[in-house]
Amino acid sequence: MADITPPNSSQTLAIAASALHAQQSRMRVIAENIANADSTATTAGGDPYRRQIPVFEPTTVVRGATGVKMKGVTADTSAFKQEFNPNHPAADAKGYVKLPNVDALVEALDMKTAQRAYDANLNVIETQRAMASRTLDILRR
Amino acid sequence: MMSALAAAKAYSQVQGGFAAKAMPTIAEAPGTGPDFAQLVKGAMNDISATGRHAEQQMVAHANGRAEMVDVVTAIASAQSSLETAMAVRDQVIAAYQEIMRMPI
Repeated sequence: MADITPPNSSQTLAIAASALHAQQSRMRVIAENIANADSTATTAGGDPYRRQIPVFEPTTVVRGATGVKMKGVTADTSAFKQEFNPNHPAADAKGYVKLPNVDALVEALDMKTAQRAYDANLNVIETQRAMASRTLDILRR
Repeated sequence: MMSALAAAKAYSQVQGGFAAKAMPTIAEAPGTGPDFAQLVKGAMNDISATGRHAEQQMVAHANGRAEMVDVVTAIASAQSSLETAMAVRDQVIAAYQEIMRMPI
């Protein structure tokens, strides 16, 4: 059973499902970024939360079908924001606090992109099901 | 409207030309060829397997171990295989009834 190639309809479903998974994972990373947008270091002069970027890669989901999965996350190496706040526990000797390199606008756009990609893959599933159902209608006369 | 003959033809194609070989097979050794009962059994096993998988996913999701996407796709594939089996069954029964009504 395992070594036969599944029919195209099952493959389509598996591929679209893998994309849904990937977008869910991406959504999780975006949520982490937004949630930690204000997370500073707890020690003086320490580094705050660093923005994470999801990385996708193609993968074989079922035999003969290339889906997608989230390979992992990489750190955004862009510079931290700085704020003058000498009373903050994470302030360095000069009174500056490093803030995460998370930009709310970028995250909002990323979230929108993830949502659109998710919708697109849901549409793939719906269309596939509609096609299968229309084919079955031949038998139902 | 689809005729019963067309259904029987389509069915025989699914079985890999079962109808064409059926007569000699039955004449030589009954039950050794691609048996109809076996075919139905195979299809039913397949359906119950996908159904079981869907149920497992549902339970796993209830226990917080499965992603909703997996549950939905498992149910969707179980549903589609059941629908296919039902449509084919209806056609087979229609063809059978058509044959039984045949005046001899």
